[in-house]
Amino acid sequence: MITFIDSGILGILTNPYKFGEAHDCEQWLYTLLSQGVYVCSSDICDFEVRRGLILALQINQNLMALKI
Amino acid sequence: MVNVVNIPVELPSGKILNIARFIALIPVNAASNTSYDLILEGYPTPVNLELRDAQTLKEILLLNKDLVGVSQSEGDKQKQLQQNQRAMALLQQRIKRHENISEAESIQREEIFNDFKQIVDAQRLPGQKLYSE
Repeated sequence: MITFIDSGILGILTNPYKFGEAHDCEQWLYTLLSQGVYVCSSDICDFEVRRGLILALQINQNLMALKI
Repeated sequence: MVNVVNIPVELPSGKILNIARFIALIPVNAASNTSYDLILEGYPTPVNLELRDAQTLKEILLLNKDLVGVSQSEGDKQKQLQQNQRAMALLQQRIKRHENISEAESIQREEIFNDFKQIVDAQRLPGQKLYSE
């Protein structure tokens, strides 16, 4: 099985906080990997999420020390 | 190699679907869990399931967990599982790190995430928003 992760899910995975969907999403990804699923995404999703993260961190400059 | 094209199941609402193509069942609203989006391999949009259907599907998936994904040969699966080990180890470390962060940091991360969602959606056309529609 191949699972393609789009920008929406990729964004949730790269912005984890302790509760709710971010936590569930990490667990879901781990389950997929542990079942031998081929998980992939694309450069355009990577670009979109990376750009969003950089801009969000610029807005929250006092939080730049956080390791996402 | 075992090739199973269809594993049809009928849900209480009368929907019939092929669970061999099951990918994910995601609550639409994490807080209430009253309806779910079912994602099937090869199907362009999620299928909305009411709670009753979702619960039945969960039971079916638990009973038939050996059947779901059987179109992939056992050898391919084991090979992919081997290749996934590094990613699994990294993800496990990451999950542990996130479980140990303080509540204050978790709230700060949530703030960044909210900004991130707005930024991403602001760049997308109406009808193609990821988080706000």
